[in-house]
Amino acid sequence: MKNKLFIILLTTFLAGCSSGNGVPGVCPDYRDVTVPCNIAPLNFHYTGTRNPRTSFSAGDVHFNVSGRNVKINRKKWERLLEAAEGGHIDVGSNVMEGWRIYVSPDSVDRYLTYRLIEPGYEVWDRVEIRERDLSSFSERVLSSHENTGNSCMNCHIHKGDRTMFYLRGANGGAIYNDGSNIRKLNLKNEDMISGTVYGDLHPDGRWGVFSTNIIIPGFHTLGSRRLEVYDTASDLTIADFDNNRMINSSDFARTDKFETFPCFSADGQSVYYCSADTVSLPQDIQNLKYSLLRTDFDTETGILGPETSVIWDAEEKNGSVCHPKASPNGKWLLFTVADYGTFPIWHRECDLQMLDIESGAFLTMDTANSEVSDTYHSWSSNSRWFVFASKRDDGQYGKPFLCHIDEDGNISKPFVVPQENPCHYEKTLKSYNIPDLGVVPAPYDYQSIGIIRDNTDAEAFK
Amino acid sequence: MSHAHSRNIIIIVSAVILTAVLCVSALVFKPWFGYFYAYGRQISLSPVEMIEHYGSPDSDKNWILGLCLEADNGNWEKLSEMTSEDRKSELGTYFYNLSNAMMGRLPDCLMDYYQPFERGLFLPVNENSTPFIIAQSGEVWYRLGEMTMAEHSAMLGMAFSPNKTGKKFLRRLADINFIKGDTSAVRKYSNILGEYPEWTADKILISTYAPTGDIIHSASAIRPTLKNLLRSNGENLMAYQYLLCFDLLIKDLDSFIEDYNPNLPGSRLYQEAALIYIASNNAVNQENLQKYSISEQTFSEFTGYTDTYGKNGGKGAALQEKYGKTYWFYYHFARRNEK
Repeated sequence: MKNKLFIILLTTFLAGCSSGNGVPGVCPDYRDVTVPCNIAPLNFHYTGTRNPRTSFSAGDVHFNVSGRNVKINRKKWERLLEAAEGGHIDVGSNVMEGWRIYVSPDSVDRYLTYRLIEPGYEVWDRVEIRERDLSSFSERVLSSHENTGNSCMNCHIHKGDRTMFYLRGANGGAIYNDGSNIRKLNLKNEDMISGTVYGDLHPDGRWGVFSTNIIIPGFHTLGSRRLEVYDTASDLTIADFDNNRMINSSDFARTDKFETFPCFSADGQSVYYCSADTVSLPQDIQNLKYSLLRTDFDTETGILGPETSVIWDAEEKNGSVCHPKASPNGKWLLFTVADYGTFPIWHRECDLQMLDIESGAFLTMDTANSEVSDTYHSWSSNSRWFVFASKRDDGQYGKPFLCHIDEDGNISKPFVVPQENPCHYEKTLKSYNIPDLGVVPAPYDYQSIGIIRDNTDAEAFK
Repeated sequence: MSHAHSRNIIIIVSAVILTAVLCVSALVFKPWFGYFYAYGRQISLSPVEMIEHYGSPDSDKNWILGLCLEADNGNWEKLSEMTSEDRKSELGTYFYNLSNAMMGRLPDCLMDYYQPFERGLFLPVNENSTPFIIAQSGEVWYRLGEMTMAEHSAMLGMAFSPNKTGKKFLRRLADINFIKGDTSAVRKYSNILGEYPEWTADKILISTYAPTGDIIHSASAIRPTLKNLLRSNGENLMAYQYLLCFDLLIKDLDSFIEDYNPNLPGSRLYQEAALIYIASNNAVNQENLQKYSISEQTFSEFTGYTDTYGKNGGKGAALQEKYGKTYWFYYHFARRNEK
């Protein structure tokens, strides 16, 4: 009986979606969101209605757009943003209640990088890392499968004018832009269990902090989590970019602990990271719970520790932390919490949490979180915006959402990065993986990366 | 030259050119290979793109792609008919076994056909697998009710297909999520397809197979996955048959004995395998003969087999004619082809 009821409900639901008529809605949902003053037009389309007309107004700027696909002229949009800065845009519609778009005077870092990849499986084909100009719809390819022998590539990160990402496979390495030179690095020595994986760049440019991980993918037979990725070993390590050496410490390479996802504090004096007691995997995966820790970092020697404190206790909170990211102003620490494990992409319960570093209080993040995975976040340099990947709407494909936080820690309703084609996210079969914000464009493109891959030997680290 | 005459010449020349173009097109595109182009439509490839990626159509490609399409559509009788000739093809065996399983006769027909060990039951998904094999590997998991593996295969099949999309994959992804009740994912794929899944008898049946217990396993962990399906629904006869046939094709008799359930439908194949096990453990007795439902005829033929085997010094040639389609013969003489 229960099964039959489910079938009827599901069929009814789907029949409702398929109709051009019904309850009008907008997609993406840009109603009552807060946007930066330098964002591209919020193109959207209507669902469940025909012949809508939409009006936009702010101050003395007014214009209308007819039709289901609302594609906004960029010059008109910029005038609208300017008129609404610090206030809001009124959006009117002849088929549904109007709404507002709040325009923050806080701009967002102009460049967003991400990897486009099919969602969440352990193999790849034709992967690219791209860079989007958030003030327009222009996008360029930073690294392409075409120039890298179809190798895997991942984890493009920014820190000021420095960037780094990995090219895996033959002739690969960590591609590190130190602000003036582009280097190819082999961030591994004989004491490490693997090459570097997750990490962060130090504010002063000399150091990088990374995890080394033996990563195993597995499949769930039950539920919607699909894939579970876990480490059978993981440690922390420091890279000294000035002297081409790795600094390992037995305190952060314990065999009874997993240590992963390190990041520097804004002042570079500390490292936040995740740590869990080792358990028997995969059978005890539900007992694999990572706490959030902070340890000292000596900026002269590159040594971690000795003082270490627990910020978020996994046992006490009965959850598992990953991806801590400190805001550049040193005020906030943003991280992800799941029920267990270290790979939150398919954990529907996985949510963002924010710590006020000074007070130790946790912010309410209900506005930002959804019923599916929200994770892989990165900060804008002014600490007023963060981007994160969320599978909301379809539950399958990660999409980049921007979210505003004001000085008092109030979180606004996030919005998906707008696209020229209002139906883009419904049609795409790629996930936006590890979105990361940058102030300046990366000083390379897929052609120069291909040349570096083919013609440059990776610098050895000892 | 009169105007009418010129017009006739133009008409004749046009007809000749048109005929030549049609002949050349027919030679290049070979429209009689219908499955070849139909498969192309399922993976969003034009006829020209199909030839570019799969080469010129021929009867073997047409046959293989036909098997894929008929399995996709659940035409088991047609699939059975198309695999009636044993072409000694791993993919052919995969679909032969699947069609038999869907008709409840997998163990009864297993030894009648070329069996490349477990690869005739489950297509491997690993770094050596071709995109085409990956694209077909989910069919059996879907029918068994193992939606994670089926989705994995569909997702990878689409990711590695030439245009990275296609009705074949999108429909399967929509169906998988429809069965799982993941409405947001159904909407995603259905919006792209412009069509929505409906509850059909096969989807309702598959939904009853859904695992109720969670394990984490690798892509190659076939046996634990099948056992988990059986634990979730003891009436999933297809999972039971695949499990026992898997044990037998890899010659793991200990696992076969462990997995054997006397309360579920038996087969001559199981009797033959059980006889090897109990004979090699010096446990041929009435209790075991009964436990494994071993008939007098099977026991008698087994005695005949072992006699002939002994008399001929274990040479297969003397046994093949009479026993070539028994599990005893497979167990003794089948060799794994690593190529």
